[in-house]
Amino acid sequence: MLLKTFTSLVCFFLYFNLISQEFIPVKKSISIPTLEEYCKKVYENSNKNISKDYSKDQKAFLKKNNEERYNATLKYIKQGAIIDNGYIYEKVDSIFQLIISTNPTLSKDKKIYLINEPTANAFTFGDNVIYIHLGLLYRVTNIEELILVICHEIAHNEMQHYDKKNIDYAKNIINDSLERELKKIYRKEFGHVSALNELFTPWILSNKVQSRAFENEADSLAITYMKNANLNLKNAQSIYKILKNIEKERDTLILNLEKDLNLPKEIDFSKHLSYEKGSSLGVFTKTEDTLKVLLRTHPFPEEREAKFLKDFENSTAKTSIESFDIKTFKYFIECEMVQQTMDSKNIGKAIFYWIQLQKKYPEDNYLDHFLSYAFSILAYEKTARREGKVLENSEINFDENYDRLLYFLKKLNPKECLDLAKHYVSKIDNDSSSEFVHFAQAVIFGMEKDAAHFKHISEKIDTQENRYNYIIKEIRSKFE
Amino acid sequence: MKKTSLLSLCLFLTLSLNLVSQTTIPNVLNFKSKKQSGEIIENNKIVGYFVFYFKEKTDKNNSAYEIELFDDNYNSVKSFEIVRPKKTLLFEMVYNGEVFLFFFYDKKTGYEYVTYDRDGKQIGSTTIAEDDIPTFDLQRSMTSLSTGTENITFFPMGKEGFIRQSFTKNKKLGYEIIAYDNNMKTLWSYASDEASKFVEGADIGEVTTDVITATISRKKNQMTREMDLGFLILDAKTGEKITEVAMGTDDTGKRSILKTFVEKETSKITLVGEFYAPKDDILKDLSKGLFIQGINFKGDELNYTEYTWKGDISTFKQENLDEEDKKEAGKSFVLFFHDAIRSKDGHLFLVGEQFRKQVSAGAIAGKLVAGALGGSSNASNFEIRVGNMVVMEFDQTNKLVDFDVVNKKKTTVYLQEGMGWYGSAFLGYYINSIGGFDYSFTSRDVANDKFSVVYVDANRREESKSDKSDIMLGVINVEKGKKTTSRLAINSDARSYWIQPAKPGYISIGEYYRKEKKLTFRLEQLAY
Repeated sequence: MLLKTFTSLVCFFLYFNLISQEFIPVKKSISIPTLEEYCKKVYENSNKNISKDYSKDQKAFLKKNNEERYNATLKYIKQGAIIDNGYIYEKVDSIFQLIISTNPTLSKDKKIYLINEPTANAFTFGDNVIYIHLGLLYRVTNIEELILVICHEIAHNEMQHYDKKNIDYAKNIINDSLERELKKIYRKEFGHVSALNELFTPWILSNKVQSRAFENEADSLAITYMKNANLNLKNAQSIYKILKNIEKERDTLILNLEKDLNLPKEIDFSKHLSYEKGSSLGVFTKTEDTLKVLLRTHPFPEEREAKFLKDFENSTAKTSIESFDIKTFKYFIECEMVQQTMDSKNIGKAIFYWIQLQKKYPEDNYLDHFLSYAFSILAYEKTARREGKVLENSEINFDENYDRLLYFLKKLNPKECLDLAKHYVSKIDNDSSSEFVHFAQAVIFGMEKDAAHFKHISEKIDTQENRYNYIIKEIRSKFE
Repeated sequence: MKKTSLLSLCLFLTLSLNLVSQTTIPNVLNFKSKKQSGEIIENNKIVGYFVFYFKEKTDKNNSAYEIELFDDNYNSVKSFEIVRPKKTLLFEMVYNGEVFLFFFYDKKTGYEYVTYDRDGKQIGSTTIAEDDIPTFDLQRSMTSLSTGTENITFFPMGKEGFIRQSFTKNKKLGYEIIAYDNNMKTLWSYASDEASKFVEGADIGEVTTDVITATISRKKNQMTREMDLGFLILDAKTGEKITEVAMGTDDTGKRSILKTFVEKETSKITLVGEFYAPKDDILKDLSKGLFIQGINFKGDELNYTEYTWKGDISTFKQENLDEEDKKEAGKSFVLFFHDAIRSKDGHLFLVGEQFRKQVSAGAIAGKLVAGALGGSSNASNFEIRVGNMVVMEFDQTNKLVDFDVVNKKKTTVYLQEGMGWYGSAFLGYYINSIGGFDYSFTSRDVANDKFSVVYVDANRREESKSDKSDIMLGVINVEKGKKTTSRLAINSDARSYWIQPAKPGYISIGEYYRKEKKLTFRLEQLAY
């Protein structure tokens, strides 16, 4: 008993020692009109700046490309995928500003935005705007790795790699001799795809060589920026290990779903927890595609790491960013991943991220509230026969933990999901003002046809901010 | 170095992206040509899907095609390229657990049956020249382009080969049953007598590694609707005829076969069908009731029970009838049986749908209007009223234990001029062939003793006051011998959507988003 109390106290102490702030999910973007306007201006200027030396077709291609770039940003804006506020954003922006301010060659009009995507990626269109995926922030293990990523993207921007690729394309692909070759191919009665492959393969491969060269250039310049900032960035080296592991992220320890999801003992879930691994068609032998290596846009992480070490060898920079609270930063990102995957209607993945996070922070309020919300929505979506829209299909290539979780979630019937939602609500303090809990309660009352309680609780929900607001609307319409 | 074209590589990347929660195929400009795709079925269970699509012309006479295989969760597991004559059509794809058999047709070169192993390597092929294809065979094979999951002409025979039912070019049309190994070498062939005075056809019921059963039909000529049936049992290893059991005569009354079950363990075959009064005909007259017959592999009768419509079956009181049904109770419906399910506890469930021929007030009024305007209408004065679903349950001793009417909204099928003069029995087959019934498909998981019969209910409201759903499906579940029924509303935010069979217990919903040019497939459970 004493030992248990002591352990709880230690956990409690460690928890508050680790996390300095309570997690607040990011709100809808606030600077979107500015970004939209800015991108429009970039688009118009890019069109104006197209050299007169290009042919008509080349100009048309470059204009089209500018338009595509503009539309890509608009698409992110429309999807509500851009994050430009909140704790995580502020931290990333502060690093970004530090890099800009310590590198006098960099113009001050650059901006950074986060993108609500679970994949590990960062990019720039060369228009002084850098985008970082939330999934990349989720995977970084220290602040130096993040600095290296930002510097790398700034380097791409400064060296105008995006534009260079397009110009190269316009020059090499859109020209009269190629046009003649294409016409020849289309005049042929057969073999179009093979002939096109033959024509374009050398160019595509050389384009990939160029792309890998650009990556190396950006890596080198990134190190220069880091040196200029006089930062001790030896820890950044581990980013290459992360990149190496991205393609093979697999869990070695199998989760115990019964324990990890705190399933109530009164309900027998044993049937749902059994797991059948594998595809219905069995295993197929995979043929190694040798072109895959040649088609890589980025050099192998191992090569990049070796180059990084060589470039960084003589660095004497020693300053550390001690004020940066990486633990709270990581906690916010991990919570945000749960929130954002849930918002993007991938309930299975959101619960998966939740389990990982819950193991680290077992006493967290935000996390406590989340499961009631997730399972109430799952119960409703299963009843509405929309499960296929919010739960991924099981796949042999997923890591086993995630596949097991999906298998379990698919097996649950709507009533069991609702019972779980109720179970999680019952564990929460009645006075809780959590939006998650209110939403879960509203769905529970709605599905149990308790109009009065539904009305009372649903009034507390800010449906403007919630991606699942349609559920509340649907339930409301059933009571009317 | 593996020959992978760059452009096709790009195509693969865009073809099968398993995105957030459903399989999305972007850049789909239209989805009109769904024909060259279908389900991969193993032991009567959907285990995956395939698509067969054109890539490019390779020379003057040939084109390259891609075959892509997906597992039952729509995950792409294999794709391989094949080169075939340029106007190749894919008639059937059958999987026997070991190899994939593709039945191709080309107007110039005729039939070609090709087998591929799981690595996409061709391991055998057989061709039938265009001139050697009987017209009826081509007609039957072509129906596979428009039908669902059932085998049309090819059946897997264990993991060792395939069986094909075909026609012969006898003086009068005849039938042939041919066995192939996985390399498409003919193992044996059994054909009707060349000198037969009858037009003969075979319809395979079941193929096992021990016996092959088929319903044999005999008619004096093509035009007559009078026919006799026989039940043929062949030795699957040699192709030798074990026996043919006559399915009644004019004097004793004829019998039609709805479904057969071969029980390997007990070497017993169960036949389920309808029986007719002496002198009555199967296609012209209504049956007198149902029968269940047990025979051994030699054809000796083990048991036989008849259940008359008036008497044995009519004694079951219907409590599920709604007001509309009660009003129509006086007008008797006829049953068209879609499927028979045998659960592991030995219970047998027959799934049918009611229908009735009736005078079409709309067609008569339409004719009057058309006549008054100086035109004409080719609608018949009769129409078919399609009624409720019916499930009959027999226990392991073949005792009829339940006759359940599953209520659904009645629908109408209009008949063309002249069709009204055909008898109800024939019209049942006709309505079925044009997809006029609401029955959609039966999802089977024999190993786990789970079956789901899916049909469309035109009553799209969950409750009387609720909004209409986009599609309302009725589901009759039989799990471990217990029957339950449910209705499920399917809604879609896409303009074009459709349902199709999926792995056991699931339905696949296809949705096409025209603006985004994307096609998505998602799986939804039929019952929880």
